[in-house]
Amino acid sequence: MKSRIITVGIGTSLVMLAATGSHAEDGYDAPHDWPSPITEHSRGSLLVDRLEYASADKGEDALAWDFRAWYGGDLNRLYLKGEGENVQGDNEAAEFENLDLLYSRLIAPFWELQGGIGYQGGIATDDHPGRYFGVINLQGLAPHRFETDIDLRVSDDGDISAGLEGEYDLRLTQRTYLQPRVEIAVAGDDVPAFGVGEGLNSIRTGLRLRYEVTRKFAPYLGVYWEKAYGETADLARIEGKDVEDTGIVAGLRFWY
Amino acid sequence: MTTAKHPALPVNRRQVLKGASALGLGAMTLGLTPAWASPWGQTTAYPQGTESGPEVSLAIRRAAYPVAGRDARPISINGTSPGPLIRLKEGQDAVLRVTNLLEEPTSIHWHGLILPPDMDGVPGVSFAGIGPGDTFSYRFPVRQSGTYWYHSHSGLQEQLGHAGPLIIDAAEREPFRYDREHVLLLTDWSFEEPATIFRNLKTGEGYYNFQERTVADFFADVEKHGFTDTATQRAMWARMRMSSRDIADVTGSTYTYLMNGHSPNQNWTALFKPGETQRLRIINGSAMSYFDVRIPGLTMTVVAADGQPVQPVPVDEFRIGIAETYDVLVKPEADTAYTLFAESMDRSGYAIGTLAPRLGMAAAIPARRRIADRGMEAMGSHAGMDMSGMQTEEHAGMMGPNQPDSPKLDHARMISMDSSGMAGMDHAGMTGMDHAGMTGMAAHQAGGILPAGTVQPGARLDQPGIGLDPRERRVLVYRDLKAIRPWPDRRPPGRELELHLTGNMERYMWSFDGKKFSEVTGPIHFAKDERLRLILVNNTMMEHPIHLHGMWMELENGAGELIPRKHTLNIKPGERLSALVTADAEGSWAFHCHLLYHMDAGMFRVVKVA
Repeated sequence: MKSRIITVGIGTSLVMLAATGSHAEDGYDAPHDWPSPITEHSRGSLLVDRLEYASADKGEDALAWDFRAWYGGDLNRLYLKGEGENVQGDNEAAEFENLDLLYSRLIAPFWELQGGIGYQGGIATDDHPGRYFGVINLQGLAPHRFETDIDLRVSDDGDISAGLEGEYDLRLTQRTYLQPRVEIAVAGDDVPAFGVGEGLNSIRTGLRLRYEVTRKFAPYLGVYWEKAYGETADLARIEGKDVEDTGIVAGLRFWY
Repeated sequence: MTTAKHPALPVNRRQVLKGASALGLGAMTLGLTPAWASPWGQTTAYPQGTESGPEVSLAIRRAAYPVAGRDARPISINGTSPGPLIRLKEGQDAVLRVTNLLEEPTSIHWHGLILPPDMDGVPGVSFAGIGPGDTFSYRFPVRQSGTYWYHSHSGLQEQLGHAGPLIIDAAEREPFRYDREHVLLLTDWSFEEPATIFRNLKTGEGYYNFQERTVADFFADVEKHGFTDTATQRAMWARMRMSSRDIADVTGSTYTYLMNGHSPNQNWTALFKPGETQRLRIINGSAMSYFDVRIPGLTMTVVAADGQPVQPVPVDEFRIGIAETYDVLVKPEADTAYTLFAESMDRSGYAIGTLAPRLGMAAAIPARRRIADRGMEAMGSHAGMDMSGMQTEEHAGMMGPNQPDSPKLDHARMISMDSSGMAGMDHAGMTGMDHAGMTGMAAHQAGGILPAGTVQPGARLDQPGIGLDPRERRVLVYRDLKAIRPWPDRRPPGRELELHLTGNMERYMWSFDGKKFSEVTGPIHFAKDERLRLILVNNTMMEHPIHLHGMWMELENGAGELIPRKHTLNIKPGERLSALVTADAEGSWAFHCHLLYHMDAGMFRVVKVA
């Protein structure tokens, strides 16, 4: 199951990416050794939306990150998205909540449909259990300028889960933004090994105040609140973790 | 700079010497600037730095060269950037030899000239381009007169100063007189590489816009217009995911606006003698910047547009789109200095110079105006949208309460219109309004095709555009332009060809009819010698200066037989404009938006006349 998902995921991504390279014929009868009057290039970009140190009121502090990198053209792109954290003081290595390799296609002016494979767990460490997913994402800008990323996952054991991330930039000045954000996780199945219960898993919200030193480099300060629900909360309690927590964050947003 | 720095240049000795003396003068007084920007203008007494036809040699190179007093690496032509003034005479057979000393291919396009298709200078359409180290000889008969310009048509080279003025002296006396002339070439320079600018536009929406609306603007509007109106307006823009402050993609945050290669601090000066009539040949040679030009204290009389004479129009200000040219006459009587003020359309900066009786003078610099918000407009004129691509901004240009363009529309009416109009502004609503419906609507009015010269429904020819208030001062509008006499082809159009200007701001994709150049198959076909009406519908939120190579576009502005002809038409957001074209130029021609990065992003087509 695991290897099939990976094979299908990578295969799909590569086939679709290859398709981006071929453009329509020039369509006019210029000699073959003439260049095209307009040349399109593929390009890539890396956005680290959050690289932050979170100081929790009850739980442990953590270094958290959330990035996405892409390469491709206007319509077809290959994405690598990663979100995770390294809890401080637990003597364990960093853990990726998700690390996704996705083929992405622009399906509407503001929306990309993405599909591929995902991974949850540690990288080159046995500290955390790992599992693979088939992932479908809808990423885009919703009306009223909400940055939205909705994902649906099926794990290698057939467990279904979904997540929603939303961000909004309220422009206070030409360089200062107040950014509320919310993350909601739900699951269709219990997966106790990963602390996941059926139903609503957790809600995390935050408010970050960001200053763009340049368009590409912006430090921020913020606060957050998070809570686990239902069986997920029960699992947390069993492990002796806090079900609800708040904290402050300091971090950087940067892109290239 | 000396001749020793021109090794192996295939330019002739005369030009090397000319260049050297021109640069010598420049270095002494004004920095390294083109000598045609001489304070005394272009008179027979001051011919340095002008490359006079019929035979001209031009060497293109990239070298260290100061711009705005800072180290830079522009592309220079015969040692100056922007390049030398090329002066031809109507009736000549011009020979323009261009030598490429760059490490990449280059080209020169003679903007607005009617010439054979293989001399038009567009790589991939007219010829193969000029390879590194190669020389290409352009040869063509000069069959027109007036103010034009030339620029690279290769990649983004134009942004690096690869441009210059081109003036053709008329064989017969022109319909106006003047004592002295000055060329005002407006450009936008950035110390960033053009590829970096393009990348920033492609990956970060609004990257260069530092005049976006903030929370403070919201509260200011609430105070002015009340909460409900303001909230309604803002909600509409928010739903559309557009910025009403998206006036310019690239702004003064990276650009230094130049007049004849001079930054505002360097204050280029043109000299006059009081009582003399000055002819100012204003050329917008910028990559991405619309300018609003005025000379506080002087009335400008527009006598030519895009090189073609028009009936005199006295104005206080005019907007000049990218690649357009206007000739104006001014007659300063007083022994005082005047400011030549070219403010960028988004108000993020300006190019400036001084018109003075003596060097070293300066007049007051007008206060910069505040950026205007784009407003809302009824959907009527721009409904035809093709949703097949990812290109179309569902909601084309609109105007509203903040828009001085529309003094006749009162605030209350606009708002009620907005709220009712909103329902139709989502995807579904728009898809329903199809192409056929629009064409039918226009056709309905005259049982087929409107008579030649008639204004299309949806044209806004009486409006000067965003941020200009005709109540404040006399501003040129397209409606004002009237030819001196009718153009030779008086046939009515035999058919109509409608093209939509489309884009996706979020991805910075720009296109015609929802398709980037890379997505279209085949050229746009014009039948040889047909007379056709080209209808341009702007479905985007931005102005686009649309340029047809090889043939004139006779702008149907309601002037009947005296419609003006232009090489570049500015289409405002949501506007629907038409032009008559006589397809007498057999061959392949470029047709594109003259916003450089829009063109490079795909807003480009080939027109094939056969």
